Amino acid sequence: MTTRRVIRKKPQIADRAAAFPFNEGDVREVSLALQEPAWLLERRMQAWDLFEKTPMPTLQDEPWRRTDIRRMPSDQVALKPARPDPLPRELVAPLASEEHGALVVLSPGHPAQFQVPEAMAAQGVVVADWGRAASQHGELLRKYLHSVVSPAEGKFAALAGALADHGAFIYVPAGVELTEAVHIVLWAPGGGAAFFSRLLVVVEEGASATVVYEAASPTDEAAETVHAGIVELFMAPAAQLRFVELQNWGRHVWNFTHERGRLERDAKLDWIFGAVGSRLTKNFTEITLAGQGAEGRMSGFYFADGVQHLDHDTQQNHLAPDTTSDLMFKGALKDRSRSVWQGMIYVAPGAQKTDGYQANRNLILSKGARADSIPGLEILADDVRCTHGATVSQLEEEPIFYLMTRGLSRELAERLVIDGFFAPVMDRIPFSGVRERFAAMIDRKLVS
Amino acid sequence: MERSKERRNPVATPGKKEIHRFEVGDLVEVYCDHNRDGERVRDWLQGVVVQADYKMVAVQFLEDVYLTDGWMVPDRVLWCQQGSDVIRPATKRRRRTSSRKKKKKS
Repeated sequence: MTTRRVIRKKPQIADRAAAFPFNEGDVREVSLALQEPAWLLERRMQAWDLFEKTPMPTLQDEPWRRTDIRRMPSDQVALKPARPDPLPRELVAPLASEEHGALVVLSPGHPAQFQVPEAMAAQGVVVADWGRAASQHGELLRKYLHSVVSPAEGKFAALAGALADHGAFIYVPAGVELTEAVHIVLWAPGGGAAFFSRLLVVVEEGASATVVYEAASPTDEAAETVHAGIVELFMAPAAQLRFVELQNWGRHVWNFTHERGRLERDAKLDWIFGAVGSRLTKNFTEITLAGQGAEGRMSGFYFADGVQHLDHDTQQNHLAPDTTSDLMFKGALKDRSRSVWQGMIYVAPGAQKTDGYQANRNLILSKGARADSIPGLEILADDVRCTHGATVSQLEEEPIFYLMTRGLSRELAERLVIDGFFAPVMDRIPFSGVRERFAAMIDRKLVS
Repeated sequence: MERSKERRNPVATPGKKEIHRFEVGDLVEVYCDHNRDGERVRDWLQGVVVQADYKMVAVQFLEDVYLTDGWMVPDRVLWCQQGSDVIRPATKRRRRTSSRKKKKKS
């Protein structure tokens, strides 16, 4: 009798993702197309140099240990315009005020669309796309670009720094208080593409503003896409910024972002963050409290399903005394999705009377889902208060049973418990439009 | 002066249909299991809203009400979500009890 031996081989995967098919000439072309000044091309070339010198991240790199990008089809993407799909109405609905203060719609390879009220422009407020910012507000751009996020921070920061061809620049002069929100939509449909974006928001001394930034695309079944972006928020002394960010990429998008808010003396930042989209996201988000008395708050929400992988790496840097940071991230996971949250509070030497808080709570809704939650503290001062907490839990039967004794179906009871789980984050959001939008996102996830 | 309940609390959100928000004291009808002429039926039953917030409504009934698996709800209070399909404003006013009618005549 002959025995049959069945040998199963796992497909061979290289130890790192393939190289991107871009070169120095692409960087020059992007700069030329935007008619950028020489100094901006020079900065792009510096970023490109960093990109070339930085190896593609692997599972051996600490920030990437739980996020595997080896299967990313980085060698199959191209610099091309977004597919001209119509923009869904809900993306341009005002979220943070009754009416838009200003609306900017960005779509790679297409001219940006603007609605900027005259009153806002008369106050000296700048709302511009990248080309316009470079040609009309070069000095401001030169002063603040890369002042918050450096291309040296990682492979994808360098890539976005070199190749970003669509973006927005918001500048609020000293003392100007914007009552209505500036709404920026990045709409980028299409597969097999590489999109690079950047956003720079500068709020000068004593000024205040609300900015809503949403990145979205429909899912493309045919081919995968890569997006790399940089978000820089600069707040001068006593400036106030409310920044609402929604990530709603299609399931074909590999999304990498480096985002940071830098706060000078007595500045305040309220950062609201919601993420439901993308195939894989690796997001570095930081609040740097550089001036005495600065306050930063971050409220994050994510919901993953299918085989989505959402990785949020947050850092609260206390570089000056009497600074306060408060971070709360809550997430739910369905199917075989996975989330990673790595949080760090850093207190620099001499940053006494610091008050730092971070919490990450996860709700696992399916057996195959997984959440990794890794809080961390690095404290180099001796008179501080820093607390952190992380939990991973499942839906409890008891509250569901109790709701069912009041005549509610199991489905509805579970939905209410999930709503209750997210309530502490929703309560921190001062805009009903954003809360409703987040609730609609949760609805869609639950019925999908 | 009685305000129109239909106009009182409609809340519109982008891309959503208007939902009616109920308040404490509203006379409502709830689609639930109850008894009619000695038989268990699933139909609309009149009750009064006794607790309400932005999300939920609690309705008190005068008759026994039941869960779909047959258990009676002892305090005759059922909960619904605001905007749910199983709750609607009452189409008829509640019939007055005979004792209250007499009191009014006297």
